[in-house]
Amino acid sequence: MARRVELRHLSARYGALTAVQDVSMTIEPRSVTAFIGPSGCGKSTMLRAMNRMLEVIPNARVEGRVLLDGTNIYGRMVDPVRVRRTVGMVYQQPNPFPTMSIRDNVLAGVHLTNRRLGRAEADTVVETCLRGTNLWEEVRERLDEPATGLSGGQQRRLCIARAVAVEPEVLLLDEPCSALDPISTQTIEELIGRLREDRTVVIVTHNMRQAARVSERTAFFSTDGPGTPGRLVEYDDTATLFSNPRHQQTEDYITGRLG
Amino acid sequence: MSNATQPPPAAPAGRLVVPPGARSTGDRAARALARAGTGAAVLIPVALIAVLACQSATAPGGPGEGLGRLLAWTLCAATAAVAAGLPVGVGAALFAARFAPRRARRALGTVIDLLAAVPAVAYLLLAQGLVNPAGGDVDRAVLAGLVLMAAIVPTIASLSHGVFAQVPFGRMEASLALGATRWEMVRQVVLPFSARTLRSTAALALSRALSEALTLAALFGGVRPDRLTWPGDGSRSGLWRLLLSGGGLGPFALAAFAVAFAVLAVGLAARALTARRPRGRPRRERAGRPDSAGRGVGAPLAGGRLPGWSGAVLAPACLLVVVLLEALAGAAGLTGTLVGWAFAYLLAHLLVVWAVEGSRSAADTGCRDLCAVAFALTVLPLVSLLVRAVLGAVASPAVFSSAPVLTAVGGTLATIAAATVVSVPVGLACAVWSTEYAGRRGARVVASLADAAVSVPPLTAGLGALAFFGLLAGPAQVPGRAAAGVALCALMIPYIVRGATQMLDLVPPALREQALALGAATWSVILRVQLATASAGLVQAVVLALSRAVGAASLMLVVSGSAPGPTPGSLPGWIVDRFASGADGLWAGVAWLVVIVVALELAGRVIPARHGPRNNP
Repeated sequence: MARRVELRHLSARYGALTAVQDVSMTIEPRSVTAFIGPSGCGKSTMLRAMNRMLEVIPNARVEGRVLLDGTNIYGRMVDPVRVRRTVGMVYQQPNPFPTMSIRDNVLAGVHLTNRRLGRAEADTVVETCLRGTNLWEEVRERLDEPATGLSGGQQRRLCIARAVAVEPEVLLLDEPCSALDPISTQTIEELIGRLREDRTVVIVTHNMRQAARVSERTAFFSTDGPGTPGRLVEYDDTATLFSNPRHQQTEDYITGRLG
Repeated sequence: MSNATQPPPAAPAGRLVVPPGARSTGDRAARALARAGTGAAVLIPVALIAVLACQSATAPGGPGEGLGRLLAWTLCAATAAVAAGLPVGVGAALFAARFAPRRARRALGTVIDLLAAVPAVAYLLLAQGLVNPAGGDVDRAVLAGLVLMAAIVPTIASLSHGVFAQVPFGRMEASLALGATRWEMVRQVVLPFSARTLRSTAALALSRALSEALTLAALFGGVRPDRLTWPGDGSRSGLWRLLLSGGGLGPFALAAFAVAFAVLAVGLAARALTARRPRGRPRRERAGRPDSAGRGVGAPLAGGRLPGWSGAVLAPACLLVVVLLEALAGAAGLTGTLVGWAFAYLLAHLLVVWAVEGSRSAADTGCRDLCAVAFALTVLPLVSLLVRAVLGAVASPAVFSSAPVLTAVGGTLATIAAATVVSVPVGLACAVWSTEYAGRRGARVVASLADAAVSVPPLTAGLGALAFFGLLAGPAQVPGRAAAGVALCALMIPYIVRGATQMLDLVPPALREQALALGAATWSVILRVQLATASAGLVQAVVLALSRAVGAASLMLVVSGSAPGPTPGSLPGWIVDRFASGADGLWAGVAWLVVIVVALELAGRVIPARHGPRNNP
């Protein structure tokens, strides 16, 4: 069920500004990969490029290829809708649909696929997904209330549950734990650990300890200065990258001398 | 520790506690100005309606015989036009905001706003083109309905386009990231977000339609329950006779008053109904066909898509089929062929997409095509009008720049300018009062009143102004241009209040807090922070108000075009005059009107761009 993701000479531009230049890497299936690096070096842009969400932004352009088990997702015959269903994504800012209840938010993606789903089955999906994000106990009594009534941390977990309910084979998480308390953070890290068993997971994080805790591989992105495009500096096993970085820039960043 | 090393005692700071009367002059002036503006903003429309009410109640002749039929026809025609026009307008707006290619969206949005600014009078002329060649035996009720639709669809499209453009990007992105097609995203995010505003849009469209329906009835003479008599006595005197009968207001004015009252009531009720918080409704599970297009584990990403050259094959094929069919049936005609071709292509495309890409993709394609057709239908009247105006102006360039037309242009511009000079300060002051001084409840009251006032039929404002000046100067001496100006004010002010309040609400509260923390006085915060930050939006709100008011120019037509007093010289009046008399220069007038409208619209686009900080691009 998990897929291998390969980036081949991937560059992303916003109008005349090149955000990321020439990134090539291979992300193995059934693993967690962490993207770290200073703000503005294109980590989130890379995530968006990996499920064709970048083209939704006006002026954004992608060059290069992203191979999903060998299929280029930017190929001419590829349906972006299918790509996005296969490669799920959770955004940095929680964005539950304000017109829907908590339950409908979890089922939002499922409803789209016209799956035959009885009431009981839908209940099961909702409960499984909410339990997986440790939200079930908190919201089980008010599933039919608007999702906007939840706290920030709860909204974020709801958005993860919503993405998981579609059963994507690759899951991209953009700073899933920023501004969360340690308990919620731990819950989400456990969830990531479970997701890894049958999925490919990529997370962007500013928390290097988190990267060390949850990921097998870590990619360090950086820029050569303000206004220059971001690039992939180093990509290695997490243990190696944190204990024995090959590049000076990486070492400066992880030891706190930079950024 | 000599005295010299010690700092001198600080000068006594200004007293911290100030008696209420001793506040700074600036603050008092600001508050007084805001209050005065609010008073004027409320007073002007209310006064006009009150005068009309008094006049109607005391009309010597009592309700004329035609009142009931006039009302019934007006209500039916307007409701039918809104029911038919709503899907078209919303579809056109959806196309421009969400379905069109991303590069084209901005331009299409401008076109839609432009459409709303074209005065409905211009669309009435299209009816002439439709009637004459047909020999006069078209069903006139249907025709009047079509004209009505052409006049209100742009309003609907423009208002809904404004809402669709405001849907938060993050929500749409979230929906797409879950694997939604564009149509599913629209259904899941865009429509729920806009539902409330769309309902008030429908109310607004209804009021506009009522107003235009009354104008139509006035223009084309007697009204029978089933059909309009066409083309009746459309001269100024006929119009005037309808307005005033026996020294008082005629059935026509009474009808306008009744309609205004109904619209106000409906508007306030709708507002009360829709003010509730949006709630998540428990939704019934749908048992649809399972998605055939590869869902689940290991589904292929590619394949099952129509190749890019499919359009290039389908289009000529469809043309061939249509031409063959026409040849077989023995019918021929360019329009028929084109319409048939478009229809056949859309149908064939939909079927092919369904067969190859599955039902979800077909729904997406079908909705996009429908919206595109709606857009085309919306734009069609304007395009045909433009073509005819340009042709007309080219055919008789002398008329285009002749003295009478220029007088009419000057009169129109002067009316617009005078109304702007009065209503902009009043409207802005009211908006400032509502955001700065009124408190929560006061702000709500102002918002409700503005919303209700916006949906008052423009014609009512015009008749109110007429009645007002009729009281002052006597029915025979009404200064048409002044009355038109006052009516235009009454129309513009609610729009300005609404737009400006929204823009001021958008100013981040942190900014004013910061300014107050720096010790600025209230008036200077209002002037230098609030108004300055919102300036671009405010200019846009004013121009939008202006173009909407000018677009609803049926009142100017009735007021300045029909008053027997000493003021000719308004473009709508000129147009009606030429229309009725069949004299040369009709299209020159239309061309000038369009030029003015386009100039206003462009000003609204260009000025904010070089003014203050940008709102979101």
